[in-house]
Amino acid sequence: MFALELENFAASIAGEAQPLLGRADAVGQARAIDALYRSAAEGRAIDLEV
Amino acid sequence: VPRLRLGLLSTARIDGEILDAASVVDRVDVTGVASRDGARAEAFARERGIPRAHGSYEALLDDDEIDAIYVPLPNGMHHDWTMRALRAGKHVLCEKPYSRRPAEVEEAFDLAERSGLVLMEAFMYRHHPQTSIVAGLVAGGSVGRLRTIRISSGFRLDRPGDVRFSAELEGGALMDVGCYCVTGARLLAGEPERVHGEQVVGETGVDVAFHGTLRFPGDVVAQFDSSFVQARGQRLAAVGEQGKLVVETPFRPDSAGAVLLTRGGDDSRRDPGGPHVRAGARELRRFDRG
Repeated sequence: MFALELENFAASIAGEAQPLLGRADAVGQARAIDALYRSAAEGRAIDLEV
Repeated sequence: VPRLRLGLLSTARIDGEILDAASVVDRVDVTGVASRDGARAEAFARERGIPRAHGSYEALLDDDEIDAIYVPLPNGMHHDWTMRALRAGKHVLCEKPYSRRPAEVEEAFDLAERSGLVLMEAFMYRHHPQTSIVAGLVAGGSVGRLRTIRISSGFRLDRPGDVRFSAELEGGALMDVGCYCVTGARLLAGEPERVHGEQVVGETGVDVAFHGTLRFPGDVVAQFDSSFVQARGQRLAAVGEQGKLVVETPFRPDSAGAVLLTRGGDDSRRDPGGPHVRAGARELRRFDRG
């Protein structure tokens, strides 16, 4: 599993493949995690712009 | 094919997984390792057969014999050291979660793209065939219209002083294990429109348990629990109008665990294994069909 990750990383650097995980994935993760922490801290639901 | 020379930024325990993986991936060599303790770096390099050891993180980034950096540092150090590595002209594979701040993620990808470098967040489960099979089954309508997602990811973290208890280093259950619940739900349902979180904060100030609800387009709702204070276990269930898909080890698909599809009273189990994906990992359990 880590081997498949390394394969994809190396192939992306070599220009033979696209990274399976890119900007949109990482930004989406951060937006959701940030909103969840804000929700828990403020005690209310948080709306996100889709 | 030129071989990728990878440098490990610190001697974190997860380095072992990367070293095992690199040993079965022909095109990747672990060429260097850094620790703030030079003797520790030397000992680690000797023990694991790594040619180059550095007594500071900066020295690894400045090493011309290294092409890419693996960042297994505590969460709160990901962004700073990724930016430094990119500025030094290195590709970066950064452990998850990259950051909880969207602006930092954007900044890092901006720099990577400007510099012609690859930056990747290391969610290794996404690379396993089980994950694409599960996503494909749901997207392909195997459970009918998707309605509910339930995800659990937790274990007991019994080591006081562990970096995952550190508020300063941005530990916490949501960051460490809840991020799997979030990525799993997003994989099946897209980007959430609304979220609600409930946390249990421990004595160090970080969440030792985090429960969340995510509302997605199309009336899909996901609920998850992530924890440092409950018995070890993980599970994903995707429930649709016609059936239910249960994944016993969604985020460690290399460990034994079934993918169980129930539809109209008929259960079927699938084994996503193949010789390649078992390399360096435990043998997948075999299942009888039907």
